[in-house]
Amino acid sequence: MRRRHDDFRELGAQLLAICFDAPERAERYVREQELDLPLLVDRERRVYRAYGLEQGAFWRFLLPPVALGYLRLLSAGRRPQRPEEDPLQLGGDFVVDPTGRLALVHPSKDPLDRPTVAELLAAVEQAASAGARGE
Amino acid sequence: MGLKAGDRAPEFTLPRVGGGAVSLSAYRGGAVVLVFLRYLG
Repeated sequence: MRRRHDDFRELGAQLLAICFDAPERAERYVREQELDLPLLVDRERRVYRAYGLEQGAFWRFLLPPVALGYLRLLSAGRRPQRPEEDPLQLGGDFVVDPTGRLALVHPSKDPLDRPTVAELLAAVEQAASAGARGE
Repeated sequence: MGLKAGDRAPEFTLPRVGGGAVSLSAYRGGAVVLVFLRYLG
């Protein structure tokens, strides 16, 4: 993520990460991942909903790597108890151009469905030039 | 629902880990990449 951030910074883009975990968990994530970009906390997932990010169908979580993570969570006695601890909530990636319009919209269809860094960088590059032309 | 490229990005203000709050509109004039994470667990 750090290298990723440098690439985006070179293009003059700001990277913002958003999670819905408890603030203590989010703080631990920042420390563990040595995250050097802002991590925002959306406990009620209002912004997730505003961006159309849904819960995934349960069967998608049977994809081996995802199931493994989920099983680890369960075996650690971390079965989600509250709605804000929802392993079925999907993520997503969006690029906003300098005028505030969406240049890339990629809500995850399953937990492994994310755009590549190259795709994001290409969208940022295009968005930056669109902004420069005042489109 | 059903956002698509070209739509106005929904505005938000959220608390930031480490303190303070961040609004999307604060970055107007530059591109922003929003990475929505899954449950960290």
